Order: sequence, then structure tokens, then C-alpha cells
Amino acid sequence: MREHFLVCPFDEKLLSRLKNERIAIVTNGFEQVHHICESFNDNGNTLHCLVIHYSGSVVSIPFHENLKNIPMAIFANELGPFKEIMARIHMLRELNTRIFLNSDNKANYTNIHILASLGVDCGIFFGENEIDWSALNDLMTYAIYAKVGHATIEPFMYAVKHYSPDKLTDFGTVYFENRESYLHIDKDENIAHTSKDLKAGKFIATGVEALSQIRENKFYQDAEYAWQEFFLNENPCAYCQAWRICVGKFTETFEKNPGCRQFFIDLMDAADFYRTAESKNKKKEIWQP
Amino acid sequence: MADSEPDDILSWDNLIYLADLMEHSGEMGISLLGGEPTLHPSFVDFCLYLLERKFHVNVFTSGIMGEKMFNEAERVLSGIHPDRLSFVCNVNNPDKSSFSELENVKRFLKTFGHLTTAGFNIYKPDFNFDFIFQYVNEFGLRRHLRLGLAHPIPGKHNSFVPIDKMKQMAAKLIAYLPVLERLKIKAGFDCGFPLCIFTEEQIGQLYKHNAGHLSFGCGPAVDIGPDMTVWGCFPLSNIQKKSVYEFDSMQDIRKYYMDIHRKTRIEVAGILEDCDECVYRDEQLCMGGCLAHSYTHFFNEANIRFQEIYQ
Repeated sequence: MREHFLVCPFDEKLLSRLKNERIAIVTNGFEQVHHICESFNDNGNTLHCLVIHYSGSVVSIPFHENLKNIPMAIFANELGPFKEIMARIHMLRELNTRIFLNSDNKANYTNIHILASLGVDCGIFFGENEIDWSALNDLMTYAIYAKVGHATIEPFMYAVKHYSPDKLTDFGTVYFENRESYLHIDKDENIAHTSKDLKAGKFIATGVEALSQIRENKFYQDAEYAWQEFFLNENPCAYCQAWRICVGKFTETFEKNPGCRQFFIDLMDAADFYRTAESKNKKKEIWQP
Repeated sequence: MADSEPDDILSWDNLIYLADLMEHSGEMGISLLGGEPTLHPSFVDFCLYLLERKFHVNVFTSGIMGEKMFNEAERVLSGIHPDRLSFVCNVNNPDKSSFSELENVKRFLKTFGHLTTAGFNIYKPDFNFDFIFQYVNEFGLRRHLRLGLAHPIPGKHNSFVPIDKMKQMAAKLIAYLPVLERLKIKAGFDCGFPLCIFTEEQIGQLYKHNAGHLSFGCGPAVDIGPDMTVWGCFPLSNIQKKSVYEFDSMQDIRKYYMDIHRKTRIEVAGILEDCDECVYRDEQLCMGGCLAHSYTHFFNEANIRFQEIYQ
């Protein structure tokens, strides 16, 4: 099995052409969830995750016991009334689900705080409006430093868990956007590094047959070092000490809203804190059979 | 869900911080006070949140709340088990309340009586809480009465029982014991009652009334404001404020204020001159009344004492 996960829309014809793949299916609602899961019985494919871009509020999602074992990443713009969330809180904790809320809605910084403190794994995803870096920093501080147990908040937990001082850490992985881990493919079998590239027609290959040889693909290989181009330009992010943990994700908005620099520096500090705490708590582990 | 709150009321983020601080300190009981906590637009949501986090929630209220808040509270909170949620309703003599206030209080007690302990604040030596007995029977209140003693708030003008009238107040209180016992209502003292305002005989009566559990203490009853300042107890809310972020646990906060209280009592032992030599204070059977009385000494004198007590 190749190491990439595939990210694609639900298309039975496409699925029937894929074999022994780990696949994240992108969908907009919950009507087809069970049908999607059933379609994974053939070809040795496994469902990595259902990526659900939901236009309603979280409370309007028809959560049910039978969703319990289905891995889901739900992207929603708002949470909905607190009392209605509380009526579903036990179910939310039971599900194999992470709820992402949109940063465009200022209330979501607090909503995520509340959800995590009640034991629901969640995260923030970045919308189109200006990011409130201070609120994001507060949320990150809670996610990493809080003394009382709570559920994880992404992308902070991914970033601190995978951070290494001597290599890049791309938290895009939590949004299924990291060329090292994910390939995006549409129903016409066009393959791209990211969902944005796929939408823009920037394909690296076409046809599922190309998947097995993707590492030899010229466009794939070119992209591997594309980040180095970054440092050849006059770009303020090129001088930022936190670049290796944000990987230039906010370059376009830096001039207008430069709060990202301090945020990612603080995130690196949090990563150091997390690594230190982890190594202190590490139990002795002897050889394993 | 979480709309931004005005600065002078507790925010969701601060509530979560405080819940974490309490849980981290191993203290799973939290009291919501005001002003009037039910005025907070998220009052019911806050209660639900804290209950979900396994806190016992105790709400100090006047019982007077708007129609919308009352309906919401009735719908969501009235069915919560008394082991998880309780109210202390500070009731005023009906003679001193307006008709609408009284109706509001009765509406509250009718719905939440089974979760409610009546609280009565003594602020003058001659008082009357007969009406509470009717409330207890009519609305099924818990058979416990929380008696608070108003103390001076340093730097403010408020009503309280003057020291020279405390024995008169104590006699009035003791006169209530037979009826309290007949109705099987236990009266419990809030802090700041000094031992010596009661005669030996009265102490004997109180001992029997409270099954031997008597306290004449005064210690930190930590309050935290919506702006995350913390102070040692309500009467001392104007002095020695710190930020809650300066402490790691509730124990740290309490230790800090215990230390200040101890130093203050070195300067002024208690509310009476005799407290200095009192053997019962020495043995900590009595703490010498409310510390707020001691602080009133420091307001009109030169800054000559332990510096910590002025901070």
C-alpha cells in the first residue's frame, strides 16, 4: 500500500476503480453516510475519514447511535444554541468525530473552548475573513497548557505533537491538505496535491493508474522542493522564525494582519513545552516481542 | 452560541478558566453570586455547563428574575437533583418588599423551593424572620436557615449590627430556637459571629440545636469577580484584590488570604479589646468576629502596621 491517503468526492464509479486505498470521502451532508460506508466493502479500500462540509449549524446535524464508529471530520460554520448542544453532548463525546468550526465566526473561538472543555474533540478552520490572532492564541494556550484534562483542539495538537526543531511541520494535514500525506482526486480521476489545486485545474496526473507511480511523477517531484522558492523572493515570511511551523500559509494576509508571526512563535514555544512534558512523563519501555 | 459578553459580566472563557482552576484544586463545588447571578444572560447555560462538568452548583439569589429568565430556568433547572444544584434565596421581610418583588420571590420559591435554602441577613439587632417559617412550609424549602451577619465594608457605608448591639441581636436569635426546633428547621451561622456575644446558657442551647456543630469562625471565603480579580471575602471586597492569574490553585489563594488575615489579627485581634487576651480566641474556638471590623481601625490612622494588610 502506498503511503498517501486519497481525498475524493463520493463517486461509486471512481471508488470501483480504486483498489487497496485509504480514502477520505468529501461530502456535504449526512444523507449518504451509510451508503458511502457500505460502498467500501469491495476492492480492499478502507474509509480513512468522511469529510463533511456542512452548511447548517452543528445542532442541526442528525447525530445518531449508528454513526458511532464512522470516522468523521465535520466542518461547520456555527455551533447552534448551547442548550441544544448539551442535549447532544454525550453522543458527541461518543462519536469518532472531530468538529471543526469556522474562524470567520468570532463566537467560534469560545465555542471551541467550550466543546473541548466538555470532552468533544474539535478544531478551528480558517475562513476567508481576517483571523483574530489574539483569540487564536488564547485558544492555543488553553489547548496545550491547560492543567485540567480536555479534548483535543486542532490544528494545535497536531502541530505540537509532530513538531521537530529540525524539519518542517505542516499542520495542513488536519485539513487533509498536505502533499506528503494526501492526494486529491476528482471523479474524472484528475490528481492534485491540494483541493485548491484540484479546483484550479493544477493537476499532477490524470487516471488512477498514475497513483502507483506518483513518486516518480515529474510534477510531484517538482512540488517537493517548491517551498524553497519561497526564500528566493522578497517576502517578510522568509525572515520569520516561525516559518517552519506555518510553512507560509498566511503569506497573503501577513501585511494586512501580521499577528500570525507572534502566534506561530508562541505555538513553537508550546510545542517545546509539550515535548518536554512528554519526555518527562515517558514511561520506561522495554523491548517488544 | 457564545456571543461576546459585556466586560462587567463573567465571560464563557473566564468561566471555563475558573472551572478548570477549581477542578485542578480538587474542589467540585462552585457558588454563583452577584449582584444577582440570574441577571447574567447566560445564567442557565452556565449552570448547565458546570453541572455537565460534575460540579455541585450553588446559586445565591434574591429569587427575583425576569419572566424570560424564570421560564428558561424553570424549564431547564427545576428538575435537577438537589445533590447537584441548590439555591440560597436571601429573603427579605415581606413588609419591606414591594408587591411585585414579593410575587417574584414566591414564584421562584414555588418552582425551586425543593432546591432552596432560605437565607436571612441580620443587619440590625432587632429583626424578625417569622415569615420564613411560612415560606418553608408553603413552598417546601429545605429545613435549614442560613443566617448571615452583615459586617462593615471598609471604605463604604452599609448597614450592619454595631458591636455594642451584638448581644441584643444574639438574645433575639436565641429566642427563635424553640420555634425552629418545633418546625425542625436548623439554623446555621454564616461566618463572623463572635462566641462571647452568647451567654454560657445560650451556647448550650445552640450546641443542642446544631447537634454539637458550632462555629464562630472567620476565614477567607474567596470571591472571584467577572474581571478575574480575587478577594478574601465579601466584606473585604474593596481591599487586597489580586488577579486570579497570580495563583495556581484555590489552595494558594486561600493560603495567601489566610496569611494576610493572620497578620491582620496580630495587629487587631478581634472586634473587642478583650479579644487580645481571650483564651478561646487563642485556642481558635472563636476567631474574634469578622475581620472587616478590624479593618475599619486602619482606615483612619497612619500607615504603621504590617504592610501586607494595606495592599
